[in-house]
Amino acid sequence: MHKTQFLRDPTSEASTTLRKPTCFPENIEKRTIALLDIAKERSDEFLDHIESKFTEKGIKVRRYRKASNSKNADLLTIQSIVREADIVVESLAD
Amino acid sequence: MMAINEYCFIAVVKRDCPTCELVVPVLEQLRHTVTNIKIYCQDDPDFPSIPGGVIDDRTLENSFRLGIDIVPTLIVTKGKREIDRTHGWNRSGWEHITGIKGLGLALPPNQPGCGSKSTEPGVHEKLQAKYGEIGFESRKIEFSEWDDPVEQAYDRGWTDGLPIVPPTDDRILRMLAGTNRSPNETLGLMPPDFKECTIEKVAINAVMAGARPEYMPVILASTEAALNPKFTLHGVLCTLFFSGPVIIVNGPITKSIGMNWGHNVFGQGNRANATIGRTLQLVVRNVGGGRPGEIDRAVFGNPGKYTFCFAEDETDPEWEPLHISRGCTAGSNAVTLHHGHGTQAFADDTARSADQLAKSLSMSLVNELHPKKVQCANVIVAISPEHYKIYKNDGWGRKDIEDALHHYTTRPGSDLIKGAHGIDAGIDPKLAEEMVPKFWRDHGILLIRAGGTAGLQTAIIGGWGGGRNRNEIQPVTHQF
Repeated sequence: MHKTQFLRDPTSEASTTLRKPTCFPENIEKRTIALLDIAKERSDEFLDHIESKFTEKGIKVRRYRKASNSKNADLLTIQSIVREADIVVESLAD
Repeated sequence: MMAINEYCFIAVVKRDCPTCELVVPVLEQLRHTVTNIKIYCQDDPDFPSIPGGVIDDRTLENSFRLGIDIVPTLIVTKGKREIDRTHGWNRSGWEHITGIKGLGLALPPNQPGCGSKSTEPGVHEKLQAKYGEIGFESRKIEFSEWDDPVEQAYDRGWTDGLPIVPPTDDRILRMLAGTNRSPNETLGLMPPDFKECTIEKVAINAVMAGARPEYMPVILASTEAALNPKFTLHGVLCTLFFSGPVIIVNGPITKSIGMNWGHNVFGQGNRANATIGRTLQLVVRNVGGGRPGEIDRAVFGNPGKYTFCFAEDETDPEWEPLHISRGCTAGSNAVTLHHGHGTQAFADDTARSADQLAKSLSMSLVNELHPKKVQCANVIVAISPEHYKIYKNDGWGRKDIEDALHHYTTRPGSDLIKGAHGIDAGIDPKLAEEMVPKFWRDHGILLIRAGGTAGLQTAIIGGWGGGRNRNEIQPVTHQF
């Protein structure tokens, strides 16, 4: 990355400068899982497989799809996921 | 004449300067006479149009490094050492520096120069950040040129929910110019994480809050007051209760920096009020780590936790301002911090005597927290000009009003004990035969004047239930 901007840290610098990733959930049994197809080739195959595995375990799954793998998901899709699901599994590769 | 070719000459000019235009023939004369002359131009690489050309200094790097305040400036150096300099046009000065007689004989003997572009407002700090030594200790957070700094601040959890001004080095330098104190001076350990709170960190958060440099003395005083153990900042920010720091500012600085004590005094619209209060909240959040949902466990909070800061109306010389009543010296500046929450309205447009008004106001005051709670939360009582006029017409000043409010909010214990009036809540039944004050006498009521000129109103800013521990938790006044 070509870094051309910087700000000074206003915090006590007790944590890393990188943004912390969200922790993995401790359990998924009572959660709804969003399976997000990024619209890349064979994403759906991967997600079909994942869906069957979750469904076997009785875990609720909802499917979503981006319009294109080269662009961010549209706002309505993002908001639907936020509203309807607790965890997202995204298929990244063909 | 000195041996001029042992020396180097540097001239700095800008086209947008009549005196620089005036001295063009002199520069041309010098170019022909001396071997080493560099001419820097701040705004036009084709000015002046003389043989040998000029050095483009539109970046102002050379002007900054040479410390140019005025153009034209003529500097003479020997080796790497500056021997002398002059600025503007002054024939004898230029002749003295160059050792050449008869310079610019067609020109008037003197003409003052213009300000250097490198010292225009806001420019010097940008140049300092780019080319100078800044010595900041806070670490840099780097990101791509494509990222929006405002969104970066959100992503990193630096904001209170509103956008911030990105804390760039030039902005921080400008903010630090608002104080003579050293950036690495420590004000104390900021709770809840008890991390070192330096003036540099406060300045960074002041930039983010949108403050101006001249607010820094108030911001620093507010931070120091918040760190006074008597204020118990850690407690007020982790409480379940509504409260947060409320800042009252007194003294001549309130007028100097344009604070509001008049119309809409607790509301929006005044930069100093808004950003001084916001800075303290951002310092608590970012330096101390006091974030809602984490250590900040408030059930409701209150809108003042974005910012709650205002000045007292000191326009009536007969009125004793709050800070003076709390021991500060006449003419001093001070901040007083209260653990407060929302504003309770008191509107009495009927009372026409001071005693009636105080008695009426007391009916509202006794409801603070709960009508049966006593000696618990402290309050700010802000009297509007129209209500103040009623007191003043009867010859009442601060002490008379305070005495009356304490008197009328002292009630029979039989009305306040558990079970009285069919309400389970209440005080110890042993106090049934006593007269029980609502507020601590020494600091329970912070009486101030504020507000717009029309309206028979008084405002009550309620306090934190932690105030029941009177020796541990008090409003704090800090003179500066």
